[in-house]
Amino acid sequence: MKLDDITTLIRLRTPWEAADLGFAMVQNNWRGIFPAWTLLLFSLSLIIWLLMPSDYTGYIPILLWWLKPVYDRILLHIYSRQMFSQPLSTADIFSALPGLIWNTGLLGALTWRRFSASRGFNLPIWQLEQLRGTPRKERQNLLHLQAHSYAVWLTVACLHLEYTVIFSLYALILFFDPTERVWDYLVSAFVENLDVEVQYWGSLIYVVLYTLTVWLIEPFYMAASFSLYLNRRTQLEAWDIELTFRSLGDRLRGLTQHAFGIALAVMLALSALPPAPVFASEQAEQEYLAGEALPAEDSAEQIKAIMQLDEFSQVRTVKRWMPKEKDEDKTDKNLFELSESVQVLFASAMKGMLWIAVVVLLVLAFVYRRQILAMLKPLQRKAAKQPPPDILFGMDIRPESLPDDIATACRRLWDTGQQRDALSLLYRAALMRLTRHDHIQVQDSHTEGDILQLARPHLAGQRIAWLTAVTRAWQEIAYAHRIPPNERIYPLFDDWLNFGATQATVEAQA
Amino acid sequence: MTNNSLTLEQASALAERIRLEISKGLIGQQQVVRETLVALLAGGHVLIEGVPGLGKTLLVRALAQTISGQFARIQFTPDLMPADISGHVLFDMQNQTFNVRKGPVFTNLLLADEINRAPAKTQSALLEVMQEQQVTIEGKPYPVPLPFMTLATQNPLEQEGTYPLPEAQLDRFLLKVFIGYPTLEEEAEMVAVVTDQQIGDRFNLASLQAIASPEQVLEMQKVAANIAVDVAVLDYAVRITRATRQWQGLRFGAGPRGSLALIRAARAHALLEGRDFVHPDDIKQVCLPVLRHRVSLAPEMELEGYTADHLLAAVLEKTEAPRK
Repeated sequence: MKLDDITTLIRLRTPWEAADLGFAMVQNNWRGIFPAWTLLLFSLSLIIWLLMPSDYTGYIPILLWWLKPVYDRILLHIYSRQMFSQPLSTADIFSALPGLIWNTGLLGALTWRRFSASRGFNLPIWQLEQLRGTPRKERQNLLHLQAHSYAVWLTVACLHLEYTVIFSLYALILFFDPTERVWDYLVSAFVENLDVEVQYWGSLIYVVLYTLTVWLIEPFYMAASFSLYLNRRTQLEAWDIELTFRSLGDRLRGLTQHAFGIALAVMLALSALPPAPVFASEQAEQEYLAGEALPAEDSAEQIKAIMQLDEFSQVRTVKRWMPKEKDEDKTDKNLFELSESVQVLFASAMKGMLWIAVVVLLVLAFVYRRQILAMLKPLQRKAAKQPPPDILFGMDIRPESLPDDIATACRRLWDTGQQRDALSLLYRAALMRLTRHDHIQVQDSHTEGDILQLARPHLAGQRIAWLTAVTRAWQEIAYAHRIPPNERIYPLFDDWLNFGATQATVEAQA
Repeated sequence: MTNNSLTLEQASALAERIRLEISKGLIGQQQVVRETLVALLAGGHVLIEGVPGLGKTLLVRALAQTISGQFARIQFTPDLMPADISGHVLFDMQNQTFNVRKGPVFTNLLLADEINRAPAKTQSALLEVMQEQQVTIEGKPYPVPLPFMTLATQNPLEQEGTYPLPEAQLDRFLLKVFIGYPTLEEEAEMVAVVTDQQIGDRFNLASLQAIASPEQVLEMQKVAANIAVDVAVLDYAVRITRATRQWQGLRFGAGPRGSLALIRAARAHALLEGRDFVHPDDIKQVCLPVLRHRVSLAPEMELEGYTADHLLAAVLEKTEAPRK
């Protein structure tokens, strides 16, 4: 594979853009695809028709559907060569068939991988990269990461396109059948046993129409899948950047050699650009219509004259059976039976699908039982434990900011007339103890009263009494600017050790 | 404070006795009684919201009884005229003179029952008396007896045929108090008291004693007004009020009158606690009743079922307590 020879513009596309590119590739290169493809598909279809016992001709479309992986391999072979500027002749394609059948994992594709919804996308890994076993699995997983859902939806979309095409073809036949025999056949196919001849023709039409459908849709599906695959590889391996650098290198080399020639060519090209027409088209249209335009009265007369001609004035009488009484009418009965049988058919199909869905859900529920049970458990999300604050109410309450012997330091401050600082230090120490050791979550919005409320359930009798007394004293000095008497404050300093003692200290003292 | 004839301790003890006496008549509703006393001590007015039959009238009558004050009740109706509230001038044919007939507003405690049933014009007749404590009749101002307090009630259930109070009027009320259903024990006790040797379902208020005189109430108000407020606490109240103005989910926040009301109510609260200074907890305690009627919820918050109390609680949670 030489990236330089690639025939499409490689750039990073969205997946649906890439699928679009695949469709455009088919439209652009149909001459190189459809002759061999037509020959192969219709030959195969014909062979199957001839070989199939007449009782089983109704199953031929299913067989044609089942063999889709075979067609995909042929189509991919054509696309992969076309993509890198190696057009194949029909003979080349036929001669490549044995290799495509034996070396591309066809057996798996026709059996246990037949129902893969992303078979078109996976095929290049088998056929072009020739990977097998674990490397193939890893490669496929990697490619699936961002493209699998698109590959699946592409398959689903193409499947629906097939339905649309085959119904349209049937509708087309109905429109062009004046005898209504096709309609009768379709109606009777659901309600009664057909005679052999009718069945034969019905099956033949079905096979032809289905072959036509596959013939039309499958090349587009495979091209879009291949394009999705290429886009994913471009995404992974940066093909676009590589190509840009290469062309940049080539251009720079060329420029140095032919700079003058290029400049001349550009100037000539610019001077040769035609001017844009301004009035030309309008004038031409007016002149063209002027000769044929007639006044309204003349037109009406001319139309009347034409309508008098034999071809337009023939009257034909068409006779039809119309229902006299609803109950006795056979057509209505047939229609009723038809609608009833269609309903039964639809209901049975839906019932079957629902049962399958129930079984699948039960299996999934069993497989993912742990996850489901985990979801049913009540949430036990613990609030993230916030680290204790360092600063509260503008006070630094980190342990390192406090003196080792708080009681002595407070007493010294108090005795030297710095009563406010002394109580501030004591309250800071109390906050440090509450936040770090008693693990009380104090926020900036909490007032002194709130902190007391928060601490109450956590602290034993003596400690909460001490904290209440300190808080009251602190509030008094902070908000009333009144110094509490010494006899009220000294015991608080003395009892700091009891309040501030950790469990370990208490045990050690004991 | 030294100029007052009542000391802080006396005023506080008196307030506590009034509270206990009212509680004899109005069983339960401790919070409502407390907040009403806060408004009385702060010289403010109260807007009481609650469904009928929870004792709003009883509260006012019991309060009037305990402070030996006059009590008047106006039932607000759609056809009530402003002169029916404030009073008017009548021509006396006999003496050929104009006489002033004072309205029910000339009282100590005025119960404006179902205030939102009267149109805005009539509601506004209360504005002057609530703010200035005087009524102007024929261009002449007449002061109302002091202490003067308006207790207006409104029913939250009935919205049809009501006129919501304008913001200017709402702002005049110091507190908005919610009165809820009593607890099982309180209700059982109340039923026992009311039905014991009673004819009809009227409360017997004769057993309530007069604890204070109107003059003493005025002195208590003076004591409350003299309670110290530190700059940090003042700043805290202002920050809370200002936070409501930019708060997500509030259409508009409280004006400066909100800050004033917070401090006034916090002082009264401190007095009830027997303290001569206000601390941040007083502000927090009175914040909801002071601010809940001064803020307006954004429509989407109302649709989601939030109340002003929810958002004010969030404001309090996000406003830093004073940093000392």
